[in-house]
Amino acid sequence: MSKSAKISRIRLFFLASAVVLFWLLIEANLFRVQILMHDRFDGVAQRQYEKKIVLPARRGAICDVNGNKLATTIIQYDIAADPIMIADKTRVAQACARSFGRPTRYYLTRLERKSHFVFLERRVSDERAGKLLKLDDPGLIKTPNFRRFYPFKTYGAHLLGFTDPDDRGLSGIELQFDEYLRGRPGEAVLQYDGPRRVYYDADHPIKKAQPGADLFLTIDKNIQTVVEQELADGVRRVKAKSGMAVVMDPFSGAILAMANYPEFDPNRHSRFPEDAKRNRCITDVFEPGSTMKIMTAAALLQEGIYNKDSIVHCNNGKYKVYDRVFRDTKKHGWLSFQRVVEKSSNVGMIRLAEKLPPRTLFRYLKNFGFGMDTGIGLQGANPGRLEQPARWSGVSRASISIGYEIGVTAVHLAAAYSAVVNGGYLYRPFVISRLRYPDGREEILNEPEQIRQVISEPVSRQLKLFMKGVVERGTGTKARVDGLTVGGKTGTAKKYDRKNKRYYSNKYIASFVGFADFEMPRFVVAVIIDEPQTYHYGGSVAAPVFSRIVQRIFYFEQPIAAPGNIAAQTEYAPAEEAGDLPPLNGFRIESARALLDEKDMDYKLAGQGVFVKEAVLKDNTVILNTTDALVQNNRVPKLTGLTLREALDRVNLQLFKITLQGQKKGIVRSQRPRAGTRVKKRTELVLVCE
Amino acid sequence: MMSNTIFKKIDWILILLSAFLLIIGLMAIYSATFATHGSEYFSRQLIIATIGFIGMLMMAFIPFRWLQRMSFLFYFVSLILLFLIFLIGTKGYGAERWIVLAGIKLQPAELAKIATIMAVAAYVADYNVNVNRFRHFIVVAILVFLPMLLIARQPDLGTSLVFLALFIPLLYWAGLNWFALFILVAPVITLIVSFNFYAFLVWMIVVSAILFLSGRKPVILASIFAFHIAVGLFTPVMWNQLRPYQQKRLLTFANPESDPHGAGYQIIQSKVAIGSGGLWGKGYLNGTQTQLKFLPAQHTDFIFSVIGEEWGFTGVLLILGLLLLLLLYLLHLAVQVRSTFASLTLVGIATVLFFHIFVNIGMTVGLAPVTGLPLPFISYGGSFLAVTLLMMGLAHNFSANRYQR
Repeated sequence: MSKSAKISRIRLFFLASAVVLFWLLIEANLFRVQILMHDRFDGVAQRQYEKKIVLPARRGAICDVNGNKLATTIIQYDIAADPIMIADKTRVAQACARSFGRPTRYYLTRLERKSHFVFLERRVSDERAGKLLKLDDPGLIKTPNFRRFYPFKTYGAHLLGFTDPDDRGLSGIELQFDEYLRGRPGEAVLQYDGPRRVYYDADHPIKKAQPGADLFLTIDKNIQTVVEQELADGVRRVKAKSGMAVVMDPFSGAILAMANYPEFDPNRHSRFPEDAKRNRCITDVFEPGSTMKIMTAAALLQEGIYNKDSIVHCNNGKYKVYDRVFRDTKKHGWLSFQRVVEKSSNVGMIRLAEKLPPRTLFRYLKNFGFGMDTGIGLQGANPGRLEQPARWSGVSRASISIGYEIGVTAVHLAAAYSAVVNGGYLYRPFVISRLRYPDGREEILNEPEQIRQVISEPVSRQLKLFMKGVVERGTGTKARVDGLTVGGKTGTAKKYDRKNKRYYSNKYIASFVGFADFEMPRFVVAVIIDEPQTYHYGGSVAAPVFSRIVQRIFYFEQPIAAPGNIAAQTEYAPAEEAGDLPPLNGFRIESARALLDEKDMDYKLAGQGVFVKEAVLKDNTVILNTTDALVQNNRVPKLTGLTLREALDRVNLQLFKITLQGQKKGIVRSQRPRAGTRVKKRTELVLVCE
Repeated sequence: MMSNTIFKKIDWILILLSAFLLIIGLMAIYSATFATHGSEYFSRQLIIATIGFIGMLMMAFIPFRWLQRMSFLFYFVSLILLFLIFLIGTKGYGAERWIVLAGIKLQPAELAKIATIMAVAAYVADYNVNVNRFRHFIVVAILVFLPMLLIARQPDLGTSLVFLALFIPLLYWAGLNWFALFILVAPVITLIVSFNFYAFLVWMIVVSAILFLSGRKPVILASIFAFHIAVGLFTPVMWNQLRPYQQKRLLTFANPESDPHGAGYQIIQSKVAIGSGGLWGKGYLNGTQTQLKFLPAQHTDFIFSVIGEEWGFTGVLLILGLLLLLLLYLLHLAVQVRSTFASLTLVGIATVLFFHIFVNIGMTVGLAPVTGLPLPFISYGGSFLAVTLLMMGLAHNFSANRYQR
């Protein structure tokens, strides 16, 4: 370095310039990354260390009146694997094969795949997945999922509706009350770190999922079960296209059962045709035919135009009104009003109704709730069809009086018949009862609501007598129920061919609407069978279904006392001794209250149940001891030695399919399986009577 | 006045800059490691930093002449240590880089850096050589390339590149003429531009012009030009001879982000850390990338990303500012000192630091390949910190003895 200081300075300047240049380059780059691109990188950093996961909310259950879950939420598992991580493929495959029943080879081929994720089995229940859940293998992935489950499968399915795979309501009540049932999903923020370990982030507390509210219906699972079974039986027996049945409590308007055929299973709803999923009871409008004659009769009696003994000539089964010829199935001559109803004479009823001004008939029908929304409060409920009198033709009055030119739904019929048999009061039908929120708070959505009095009590009683006559000696003899006095009315309507604008000669809607029992109606049952093939009369198609339903449900409601409550009963004098207390045991609370109100009696409720277990009179106040539900029992009860009716009373029909051998009444002599046998699924119970 | 002379000998600028940088480094190491290792790494680094810092202060009082005389001995010792690695080396990160002597783990490569600088400086100073003479030039080249090849064999490509980087600035400072410099640098540029015909064409015109203006013998000029043409023609051919995986490896080295799962993963995480730090940073000990260990090698190679994330652009500006001051001050000293040996050593030290700083920081923002070069003063690692402080000690000594020849 003998060079001069000047050269050194030049060289220094170059070196320093290089340093500063690089420094500026780095600084500029840092400015770009840290200031200009900050938001982007910040987002990346957030995303890779934080992951929001949704904690699904449990969907609220849909319960029957006793709290039995008709639609519930269960946990199911998706069993998957990371084949690369699996430690022992053979063991996992064998465990899967044992649990899920597919060959071991099937699972092995899946585990041999070169990927990080394969499903082994999807949507398996807790029980089936149990063994695999215990299996500890680093590559096994077990994801729990909520899934809607309908334990009673097809029963009540049309009313309940169904959900999509994400548990959103798609139809029926599931859709209509989705907002309440759905709940609010929670949220958790997970923190990941570089080595992909996961932590819950302490800065973001887990927002718990808010479960949905439980929805309570007025449906009674046991009654629904019977109605479903008998309706399906009845439809199949006559090779009909479809059928519907509604059971209503006439003193409250509560719908106890609502069944449709063809049926579908909401657990596997996609496998059923759309046509099978409609809740026909509220959507399908039909001309009811003769079942409407009771309404015409109600108007005639209430208006005082005729009494039960008024006679009319039935013109030997053929009667012309303008250009229309109305016929009877049998040639009748002179008949009393009561016999007209019992024999269901079209001509007789048309001639009687001729004294009834169209406006009056219209008013009565409207008062019975026809041609308007029933107020049931379900989506898709059809208001039916009834023209204004001003638009009636010359034959309209005649047609309407025997149930044509009027469109009704099964619910319309059940509600109107309830009014006929309960003393004349029209109740608004309802099926949704209340919501119970997860915090225990309850919200009543519907209560029994009397809309109006349509007819007087004497007229109601007279009509009941008419209907009793129908069953005892008229068209509805097949509706008889052993040991019970029941009433009802048959209907056989020809279907209307919209295309050709005339009635089919061979397509019918057969119906029967009846009540049980006669003195104290607890049920109104409407059964409608569409296009029966083998027979077509309401009396031979629908009436037997009514009979079977009533036979089986009538004694349900007498609850078997739970063992612990027996002691309390003796404190009060039995009701029967105390005077004219109506027999209330086994009544639904609302019905009992309605009855007692009617009789102007004071009452008190004891307990939280929904049934009257026992009614006793004390200090001029009726004490209604309530109970909740039938005692659940999955053992076969001892039935020998009991009368058949007592025996049926003891049996949980959800659990047993009853087959009778020998006589259909009397004392049960033997039973199969033996008393005490534990049953797991629905089992046939054979009873031999004597 | 004894104390007066002592204080006069201390170079406060050097001491304060070093102290600040050491403190920042220790803080960053604590943040990068406390979550998993508590204060283990921090304590170890603190001990070395303290001893090293005291040593650096003391070095001002070593007789200046000794240093120059010891240079060749020092150089030979490092070469022996580098040889020894092949015999008794310890594996670290898959390459043989460590050697254990008297219970202390050493990285001879780090020592070789300063030893090579001092040897070159001593050679140029002692014999009053002229590097423009071919014989002397070759000696300097051997002095630099011998340790470089040994280190490259370890293999430690990053560290061997440091020696390559040393070569030209040392020669430049030693007075190599422009033409020789051009001849050394130009083939590298030819290599790079040879992949694009038009760039190559333009570069060849520039080369021709410079050669023509240099006014040397036509034979020399022609052979140099022929050499460039040959490099330009053969490079693409050589490239196509490479297997695809080899090409990919080279491309990844040049542009790590082309491989998002390997080296690119580190770069991306580092950029995310720095970028998400923003202007003011996420706060000390609060960087999510750092504390959740998304950052690879965060206490060593990527310590700068920790600072970038937690201290933000302002913190980064502070550190880069300090480092820039230090580099410029070392260059300033290189002009100030009378001794050729001291001047050359200072430039060598500045070059090593410069190369480390810019390759390391460049790596964290994706401008430079991932080479594993630590950031001076900041990165965790005893050997390099000790060598850094040794270099600062030398600078301190030269500063104290700046008027000696």
